[in-house]
Amino acid sequence: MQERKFAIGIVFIITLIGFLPLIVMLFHALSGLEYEKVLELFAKKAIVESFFQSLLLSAFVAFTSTLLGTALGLLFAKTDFIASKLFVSLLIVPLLVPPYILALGWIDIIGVESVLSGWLFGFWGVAWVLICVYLPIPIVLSMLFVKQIAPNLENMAKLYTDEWGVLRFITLPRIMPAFVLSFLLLFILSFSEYSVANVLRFHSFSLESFVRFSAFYDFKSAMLLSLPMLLVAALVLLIERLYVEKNLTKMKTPQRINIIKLSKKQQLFFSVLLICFVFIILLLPLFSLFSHVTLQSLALAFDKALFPLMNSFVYSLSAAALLTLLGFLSAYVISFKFLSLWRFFDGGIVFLFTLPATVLGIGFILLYNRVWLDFIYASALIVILAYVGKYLALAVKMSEHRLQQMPSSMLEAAKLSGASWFDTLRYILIPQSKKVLIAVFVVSFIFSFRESTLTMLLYPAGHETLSVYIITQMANGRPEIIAALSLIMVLSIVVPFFIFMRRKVI
Amino acid sequence: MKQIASFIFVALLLSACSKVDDGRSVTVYVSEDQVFSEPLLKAFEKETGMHVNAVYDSEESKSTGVMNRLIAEKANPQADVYWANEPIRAEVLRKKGILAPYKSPNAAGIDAVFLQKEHYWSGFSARLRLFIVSDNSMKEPSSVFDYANAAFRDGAVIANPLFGTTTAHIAALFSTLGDAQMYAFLKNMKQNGIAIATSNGESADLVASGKYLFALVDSDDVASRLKRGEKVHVVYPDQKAGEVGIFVVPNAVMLLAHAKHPKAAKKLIDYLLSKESEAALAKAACAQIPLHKGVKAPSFFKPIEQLHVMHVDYAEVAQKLMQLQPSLKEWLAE
Repeated sequence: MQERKFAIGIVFIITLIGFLPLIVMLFHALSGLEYEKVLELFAKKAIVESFFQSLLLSAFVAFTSTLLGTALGLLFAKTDFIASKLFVSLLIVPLLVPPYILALGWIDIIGVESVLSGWLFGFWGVAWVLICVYLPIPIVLSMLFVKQIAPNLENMAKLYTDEWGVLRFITLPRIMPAFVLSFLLLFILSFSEYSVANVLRFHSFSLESFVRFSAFYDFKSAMLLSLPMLLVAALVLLIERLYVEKNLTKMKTPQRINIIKLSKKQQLFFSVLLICFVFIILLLPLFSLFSHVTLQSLALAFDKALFPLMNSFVYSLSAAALLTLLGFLSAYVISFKFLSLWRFFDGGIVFLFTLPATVLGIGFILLYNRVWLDFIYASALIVILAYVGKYLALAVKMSEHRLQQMPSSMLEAAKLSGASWFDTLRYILIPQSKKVLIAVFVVSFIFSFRESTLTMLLYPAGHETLSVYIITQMANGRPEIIAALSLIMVLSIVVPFFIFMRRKVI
Repeated sequence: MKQIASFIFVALLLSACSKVDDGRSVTVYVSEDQVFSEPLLKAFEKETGMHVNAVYDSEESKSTGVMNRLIAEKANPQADVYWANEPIRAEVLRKKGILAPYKSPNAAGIDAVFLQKEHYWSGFSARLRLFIVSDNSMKEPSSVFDYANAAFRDGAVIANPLFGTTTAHIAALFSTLGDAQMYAFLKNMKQNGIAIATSNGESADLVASGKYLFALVDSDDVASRLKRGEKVHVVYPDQKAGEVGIFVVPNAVMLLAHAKHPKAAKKLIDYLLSKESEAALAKAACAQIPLHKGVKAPSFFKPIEQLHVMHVDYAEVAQKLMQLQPSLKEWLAE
């Protein structure tokens, strides 16, 4: 009974932070709706075209990244490739950097008027940047799934076929859910991403909704245009629930797996190939952008951006702490099924993550901008709560993964010794999840730190963050200062990430 | 976990207390680029000892993000002052009942065309809508209607008319010349092979690179290219007698209805409308044109009193702009 009350309390808090802003936004979008106006809006050729263009772009990015990422994940996890750790670390960097910084790097390389500009400013340019940004997701997912395959299954298969045959007939089918999960996740992330499309002037559907909001001063249309995005997110989530969850075996602690030995020639071939690949997708755009940075511009940028940088750290660290706590407690409620509606709770949290940030941001303004809630809306709390609403899914999924690995015997023993649910949580589950909790904290910090769309909509006057400061400086700011600010941004995320990675927390 | 919980408690408490609201502060939302507006606000802080809390707009939101935020916050306004980089937004906000009137003593000396009749907003430091022309061009455009002139076929570029000052300029022409003449002009313009750039900055770059002969841009776009030594020069459009005149886009500053710090807000508005602030914006990289007579104009441009200015009612322009958006979008997609 007590754990049920506790679960209801957690659901209530998450509802206030995440679900309620969305409900208020939907209510505003749908109230007083004129049927003819809706039809007229959705019959517009430009809107229909941008919708299908975005579907095509998202499908292309999701498929290409997943294919490439899965192949790389297999190379890193399934073979004795000598430089796996180094390349995994390097290939993760694009996900840590705000996507528009990579896009700026590519504009710096190709320019606005070169022969390749036509390629960069459009479908292919946006697709390329998004593939680079999202590639780490299928790499990590496939590595995680490969490490779940029981070696005896592969050993038995080896009696009938060689190593490559095992890979084809056992390993690949076993990691199929990772492939589908990665495709769905990248599809929805690409569909709602708009900063790269905006910088590279591609007419995506999320940008169309944004234009209604910004150029037409038309809230209603902007919110109506976000409805198809909600539907796409819901559909993707449904497929994920129906297919992936059904085919996903319970995650176990990664174990020793059979490793494919590479010959010296193969080691050399993959090393050269990956050096070239990392150079193109990461080093080239970042070095090109940072080549403008001088010591003087770096000092000036640091002086200008000191307060925004401090704000970024304070908000992100606070949000990360809150995400770690609420993420773990929500995962506890979901994993132990304390409520009959746990599936809806779980799905709702994932749904918030897939929502375009503008939609969630408008919801937060509509819900929290009230005189008696000024202590939230007119303070940094609004930004912190928005980060929690947006990124809770990451914290929940990571914590859930750990809770599912917890040996049931340990929990049964606690129960038999008379431990209450709270004692089990406090003395068994939390201490056993220490490492995961630190990892959740770091990941939450990184995602909060790089966030710009929600922050831009919600930050209280005089409390801008570094990512917002970079964006506002882009209008007529000096290129060397913008490059220096971007460098500070990248270092602020990448350095703590690698410190924790070295300590084997992540 | 204990440490995390205590950290959260302290962080949230500090965050909730992070709002500076001591009567010695003023909150301003700014659509003018931060690189130009921030130094002026810092100077105000230094001069008055007051604290300015600012929210700046971004290029990403086409400089309308904070205006939409003001609309969303109508029921519980957070800002005291709004500094818009053109008066169209001011009119949109006025019609939505978001502004309060304030007649600043420092607005005296500014031409009435740049001031809202009931003092809901006041214009200052303007951008001019003028031609940037390539030095390689053998012909000179003299009127915006040269966009439809066969002599310049495939030689002209204009920024996307859905955004910013280009939309306002087109709306101003519609409200001055009437729909029939302007729709015919838009059609002829398209038939004359006009190129569409994503922004005024890109239009200016395309002319500076010699790809196009001329473009209608803002004066700050021309100033930056001239400073860089690009091979371009300025032409002021429609200056002959009987012609429509040059379109001027002033900054506009306004007091928000139910502002929490009205006294401080009025002080800031007075400061922005002063001759000193106009002189500072004229000297800055944005090279804005002072609207007070006698304040030195940027070296690249003529002072306002020497120009034949298009006389428009910015309220009408705002109304026209709202009506025109769908047809401009269709025109663009044709």
